[in-house]
Amino acid sequence: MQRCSLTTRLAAIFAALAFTISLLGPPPARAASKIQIMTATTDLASLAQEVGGDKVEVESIARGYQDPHFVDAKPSFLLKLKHADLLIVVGLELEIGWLPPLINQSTNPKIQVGAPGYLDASRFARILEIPTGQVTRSEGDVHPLGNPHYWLDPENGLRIAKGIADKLSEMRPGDAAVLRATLYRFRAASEAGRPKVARGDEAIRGPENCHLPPFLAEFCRTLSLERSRLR
Amino acid sequence: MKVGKMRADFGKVNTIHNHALPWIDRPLVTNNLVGGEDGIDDAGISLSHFIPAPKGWFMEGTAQVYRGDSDDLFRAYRRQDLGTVGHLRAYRDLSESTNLDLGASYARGNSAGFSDRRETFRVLHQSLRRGRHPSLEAPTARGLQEFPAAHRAFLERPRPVISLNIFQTQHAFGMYTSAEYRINRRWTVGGRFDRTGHATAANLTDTGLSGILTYWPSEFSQIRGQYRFGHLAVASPGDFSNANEFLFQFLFVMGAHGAHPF
Repeated sequence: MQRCSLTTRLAAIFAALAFTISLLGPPPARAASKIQIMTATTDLASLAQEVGGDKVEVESIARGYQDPHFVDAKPSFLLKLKHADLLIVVGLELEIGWLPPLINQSTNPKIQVGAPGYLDASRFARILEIPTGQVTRSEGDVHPLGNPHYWLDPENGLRIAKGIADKLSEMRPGDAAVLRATLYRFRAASEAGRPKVARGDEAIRGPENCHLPPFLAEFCRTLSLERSRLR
Repeated sequence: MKVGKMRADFGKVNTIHNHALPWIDRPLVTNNLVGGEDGIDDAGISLSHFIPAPKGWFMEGTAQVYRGDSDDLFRAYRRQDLGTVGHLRAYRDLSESTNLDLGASYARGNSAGFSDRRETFRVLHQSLRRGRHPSLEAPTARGLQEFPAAHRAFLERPRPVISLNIFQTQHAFGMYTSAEYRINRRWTVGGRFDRTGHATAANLTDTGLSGILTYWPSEFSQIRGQYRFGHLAVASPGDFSNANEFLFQFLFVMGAHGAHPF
């Protein structure tokens, strides 16, 4: 019988130790009473924090300065997703280039697509620019499910906030009343901010044809601007 | 768990497709010792497991078993001539934009040249990426703004050889180290140093030096040029030939593309 080399034995011992540690190791420390929420973007994180208040801990994968179309799937995100109770995504294929492998590799059954802990915020929003007919690459960078930058519309923000509140209430029925109250305060604060938007509207409304990039469709609609597409 | 034909989780670059590498070619050590462009690529089963680690470290262990046929590296003469690969990876974000990636891999399979001999590969790799806080006007093909980034790998391949009708084992070593620096949102410069023995003659050593310039006209295209100087061993120790090469690459994106391994 062939004898194993020293390196083979060392490798086997190392692998066995690593496996044993993985089975015996304590779970990472976390705030047990709070719902752990991960979001794809900081906008969704902000909404979840506003609605969830002190009942949730929220973190975003993409940072505010990053283009949410292109985010590196860093392994550190896997650790965070592994311990998440709820994942909130923009959807409409905005994160298709980086989020699906993170979800799969996190091995967290709660946040897999279709699971109770997977929340697609686009379900609650009014979506603009949904293509009709055949969509081809000759049209450039087209989002076939509609414009995924819907959160730029404040009304959609309120719809998403309500969707998040409903989901959190479903996860923690005992906190439903508190969450409803938090949502009410958030809605009231948003309504109070509307006059500021209106003043900005008057200042911006000047040119009839506003040259803004396509992702600002919601922004233009909110301020009643007519948009010319820049290609 | 993954099942099917896949690139083995061996080292840092074996799982990365050519278009996602920071160079046009693959390091010399990959070509000389690990099967070139295809690397260790075989049908099998892969199991990965998170290993709890302190202080924000991400640790992952991967064990893979393959059929045992991988180009000119491994060949399965019998059903039990399976190939095995193990990989231990440790990763940590040092800050929001700086991260350190360490790894060690081990591969073993039946020699393609000798039906009754097993071959073993070992590799250590390390990479450090330091990012600069990007501005809002920096949408490029890569989300994380890679500024100084360095990769380094050392590989050892003991290989059976026939000498005077007696089997001996020779140890071929190879390494590369590379760095890239992103000058602004569209331009990146980089360099790589290679040094590696030959798989069939470990006393023959190739040395290479590359300079790489990359330009991103938009987030959907990439233009890259690479000058490569090779000081290549020919037939016997001390006998070298020099090679000066220029490589050019143009990439464009059509449709959504899944995330590359980080």
